Amino acid sequence: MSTALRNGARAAAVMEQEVPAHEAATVYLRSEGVGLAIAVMAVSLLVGYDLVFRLHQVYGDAMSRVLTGLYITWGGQFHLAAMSFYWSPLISLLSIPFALVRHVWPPLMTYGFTANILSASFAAVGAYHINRLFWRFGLPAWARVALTLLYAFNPLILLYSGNGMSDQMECALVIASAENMVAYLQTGRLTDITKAGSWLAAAFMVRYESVPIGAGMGMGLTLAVWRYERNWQKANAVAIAFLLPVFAAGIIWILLGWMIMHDPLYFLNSRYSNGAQIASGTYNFPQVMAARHNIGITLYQVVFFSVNFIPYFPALIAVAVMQLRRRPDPIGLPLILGSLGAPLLQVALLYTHRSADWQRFFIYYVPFGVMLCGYLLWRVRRPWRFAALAGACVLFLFADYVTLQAMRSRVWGNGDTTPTALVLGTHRVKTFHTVNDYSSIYSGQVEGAYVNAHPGLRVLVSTFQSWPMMAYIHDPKQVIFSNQMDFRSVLLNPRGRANAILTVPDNSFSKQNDTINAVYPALWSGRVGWTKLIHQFPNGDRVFAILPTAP
Amino acid sequence: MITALGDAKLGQLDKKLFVSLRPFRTSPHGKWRDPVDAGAAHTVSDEDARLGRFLPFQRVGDYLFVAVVDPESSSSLVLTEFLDGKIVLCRAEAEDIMLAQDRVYGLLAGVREQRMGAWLVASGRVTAEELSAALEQQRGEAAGVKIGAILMQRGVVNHWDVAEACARQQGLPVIDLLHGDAATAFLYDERLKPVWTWTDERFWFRHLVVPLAVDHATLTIAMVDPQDEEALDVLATASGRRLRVFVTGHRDVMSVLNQRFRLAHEEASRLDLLQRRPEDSAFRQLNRMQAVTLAAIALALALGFIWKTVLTGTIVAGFIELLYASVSVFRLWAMARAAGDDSEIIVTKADMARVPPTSLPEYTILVPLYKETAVLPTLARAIQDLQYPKDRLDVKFLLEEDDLETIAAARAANLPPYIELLIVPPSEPRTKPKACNYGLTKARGEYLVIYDAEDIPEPDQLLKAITVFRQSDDTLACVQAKLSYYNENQNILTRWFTAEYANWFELLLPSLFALKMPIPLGGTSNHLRTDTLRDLGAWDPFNVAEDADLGVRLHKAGYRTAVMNSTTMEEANSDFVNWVRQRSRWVKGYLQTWLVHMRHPFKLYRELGFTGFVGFQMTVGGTPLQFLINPILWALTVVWYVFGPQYLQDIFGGWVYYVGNLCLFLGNISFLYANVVGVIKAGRPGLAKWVLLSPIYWVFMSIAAYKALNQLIFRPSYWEKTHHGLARSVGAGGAVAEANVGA
Repeated sequence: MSTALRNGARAAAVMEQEVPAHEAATVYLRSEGVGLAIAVMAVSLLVGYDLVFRLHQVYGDAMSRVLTGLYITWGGQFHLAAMSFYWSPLISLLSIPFALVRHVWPPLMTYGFTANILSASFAAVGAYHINRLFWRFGLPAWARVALTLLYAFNPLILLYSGNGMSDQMECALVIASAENMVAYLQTGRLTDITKAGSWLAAAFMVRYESVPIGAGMGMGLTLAVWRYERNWQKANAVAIAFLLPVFAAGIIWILLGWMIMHDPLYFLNSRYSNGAQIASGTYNFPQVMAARHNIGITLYQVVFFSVNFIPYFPALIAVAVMQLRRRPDPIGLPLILGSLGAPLLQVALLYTHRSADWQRFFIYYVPFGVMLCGYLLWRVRRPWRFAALAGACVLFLFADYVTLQAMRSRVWGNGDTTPTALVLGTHRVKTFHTVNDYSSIYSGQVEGAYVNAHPGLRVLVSTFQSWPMMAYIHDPKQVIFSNQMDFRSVLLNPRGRANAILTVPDNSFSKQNDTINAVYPALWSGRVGWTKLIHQFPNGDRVFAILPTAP
Repeated sequence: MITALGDAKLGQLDKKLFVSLRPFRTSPHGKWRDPVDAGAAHTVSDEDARLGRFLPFQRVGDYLFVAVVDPESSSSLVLTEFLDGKIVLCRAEAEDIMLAQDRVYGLLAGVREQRMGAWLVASGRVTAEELSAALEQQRGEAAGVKIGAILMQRGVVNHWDVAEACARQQGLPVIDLLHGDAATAFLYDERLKPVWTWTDERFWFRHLVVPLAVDHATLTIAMVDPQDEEALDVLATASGRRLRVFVTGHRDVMSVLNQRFRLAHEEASRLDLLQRRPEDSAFRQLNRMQAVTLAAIALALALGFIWKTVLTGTIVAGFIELLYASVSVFRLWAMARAAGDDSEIIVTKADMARVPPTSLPEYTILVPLYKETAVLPTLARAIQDLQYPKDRLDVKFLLEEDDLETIAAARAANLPPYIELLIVPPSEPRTKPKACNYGLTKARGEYLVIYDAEDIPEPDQLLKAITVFRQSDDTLACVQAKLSYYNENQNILTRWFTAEYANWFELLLPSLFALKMPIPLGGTSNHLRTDTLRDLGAWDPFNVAEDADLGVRLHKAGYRTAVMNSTTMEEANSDFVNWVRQRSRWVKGYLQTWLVHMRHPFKLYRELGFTGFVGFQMTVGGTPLQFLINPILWALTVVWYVFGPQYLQDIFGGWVYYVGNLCLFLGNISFLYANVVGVIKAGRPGLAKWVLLSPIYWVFMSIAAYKALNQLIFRPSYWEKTHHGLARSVGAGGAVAEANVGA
């Protein structure tokens, strides 16, 4: 008998649980999972389409990540360093193929719909793996399908499955990682732990929450293996196998940041980081200020955000109590500690005033709450099983309703109140120019059209605020974006290398973050001698010609 | 037990009791006790007892217990009249009664000649208890094994004792061929020359027989087993003469045969492959086409660098990067497959139990030894521990003639009789494959395995190999056991080395087997069909990675190699210089193997098929390639990031840069990761953290690779000797070995 099988058999025996008969169930299970994934993806795409094209809800972060993918291939040359190092790169990398075929359907870039496609695809990944996790927990098919749909159609999850943001994508990857980790703990098969580690590494390339979540899961895994097998070396080795991919991804990211941006922690220190943005005072909401250096209010907020999925804390406590038994299974502990990773990070960030309290930052209550509930259902024995499963369905339905109410709340639905109101029809107005980043898109469209209409221009543009115009430029050679390696050199000595500069109104925000404004604070007001104003856009942006007297 | 019963119960035992008259002991190391009471036995005469086939064996009060074959028979019933007192008839086996009679009355004249065991007892070579224990073994686990062989396995007698007993049993004369002038004088008898050619040389080795004299009417022979009817028939038919048979010892025959065929075997061990399949021999490193191609490439590169430096540099860099990336991707993919499933053949105890012990064939074990006095005791113990009938083991320690120290140590080691010391005549090349070839010429086994001096195979490894062979068709020519180390925790070098082996044997080789690709065999523990090996020309004595080369040749000839779930524990090299010597030999051998088989690339492609060809390039070619390329790429990386020269940016522009980065980041991390997975799979989780430092080990590999390249040019067939016996303790990995037994 192989080591893996032996481990699996032993695990199954000690856990005294019904590990499903893998081979026989695989084909049916795969069909069920794929079917659910396709359904969830289709619904998510519909939501995304509705948001973008009917409700005009385009999320700036989502679109800018997609445009980074476009920028990597800017000018027909593959230039990976152009991905920028503000955030994790997976979404930008996945956008590259869409950027290459953008001429087939321009909204892929001009409306950033690529991001919506990607978030819907990740929703499918999440649905597939949560369904598989329920199977690993021995749930019957009807319950698996029902609970998977109730997870996928949780309002917060569904919104982020459709809107192109990275939060639900992160949830899906964390679920995939957890599902494979559970598989390893059930079967002892080494590929499962490598898959779990790889999914976690992918999660790191989407959002930084994967770091505390991974640390929690890794710690739980180590303790569980040690407690279960009484083999510290094995526990360490398994933890290394689980965490090495994410650790390596982090090292690579830090190394690239150091090599290209000359700052190994650029993603933390750049002007786009949460810390930098909150330091600018933009997000000093009352509740954020209240939590600052006040652990009580911080904890209250973090706990209260579990309204995103109210069964989370009861399930957490129940699973924790089960770990006090003499011989628990090794699965509960990693789930508990993994689920605490993101909330604890938010505690640290809110307390130290390094982050705002967007509702989406607490989205992880949903996947972990669902996984913990699945674990509890696994432990329920006959004759209570059916009642427990039916009760769970009702509970999930109720939890989803509470989530929706929270999203409508001006306090707890922080960041999502407007789109929620729009979707529910309670606030249906023509939103063009008014909500989210659709105004930026319009500006980009106008500015891009101007550049296209003047083929002799070669313009210096900062991507901090003018990024949307990239999607509308026909000839990449006409624009030098601030991400380009020689941008600063050209900006300081533009003569003969560029003939125009686009600048934005010089307010406190752009003064600090926009490269052009930072270097030439007086440019917008026309007080740079070697420039001449040649055009002003409706949003206040101005184009200056570079005169021969320029340096 | 009988003595504890009361009279009434004793009377009720009549005719119902079955007794064993064999000596017994109550604990494994306790004293032997004879259930037969000599006093009771002598209440009758031995003549009556033998005639009536009974034996009074115990007296309790008035009751006399008498063992008979059938208490219900009329002759037994007569005994109650014949003997005085109260008689209790007990049932016993006829053989038990006879042996017990021999013990208490002594042997009958005439009986001595009929039973070997009896003669050995009578001659004082074995005790009655030892014989009894051997007979018990013969009835149980050693069913089908001759009593002489069992006694030899138990270390009670030697070959010569058995020969003498056999001669006495058969009424044949015995002859000593080891001592005295006359012993080998017949070897040079001109009249015997044609006799040696009447049958092929393997006949003499297989049947352990030698001709002593011949005249017009009689062929005189000496043989170990005079009951070998097949040998007698063949010789009688071939000679057309009456046979006169002497019995002799095993070592006597082997000594004669070794002298007789010494020169021929020595020549065959060097030149067999070269003469039969010159294109498969590494006697020459390059053929003309290869030399011309290499020269043309060098010239083109030189001209290219002179005229179009950047373009040439880009082409070379791109080619190398692509090659490197391909090797990395292939190996990672293969290892990922193996991590998911058990790609090797899993042999369970139940599988082994289905192979009848009596059907086990003769098995040859070749152990090349050179300056290995330190590990001899460990080796002998490991072979002694093998769970295989020792009478069917043909173990040959291959000793170099000038290695007097090891020869002396081996002779003084009091090795068991089934281990033969074979002296390999000195000749070039002085390589392990040449020694193995020499051993192969004298191998008697249907199957054959190579072990290194420091090897400790799992005890049931031979049985597992036989099971795999029996469950497969004839295309399966080789079964590779996995290798690991018992001194993994000696220092960081041994830790890295063990991790590397875990990766190779737990992930890569099983995966190659599952993918039906050629498997570069490990240096030891490869179990082969002996005839197939001979047909292929055996090992290439000029190739210092003869194992990898043989694996490829097996695949080319249409044979398969399997990997099974049995592990041989070895000694990891704990000394850096020693390690470099060993590793440089391996890398050189891989380069030799690649060059040999790439003499005709298209032919090779046809022979291996697409997947086999890819597997060959990726493993045999790719492994040394990575070691050699690594330092160049590392240096370029450092120069790039530290100095950032323009010419490098020009050469490594565009996609070449990205492929390079992919190799640098993903490639290195992936290999680290594969090593982590490998050590967990191998049951060595304690090594996982050390694996994270293995990039330093990769530097060592490159050092060895460049030494190998240098040697390939200047000393291609030079065998860098690895010194063994540096491990602090042999038992360090015992637990692991044990844990793997059931895997």
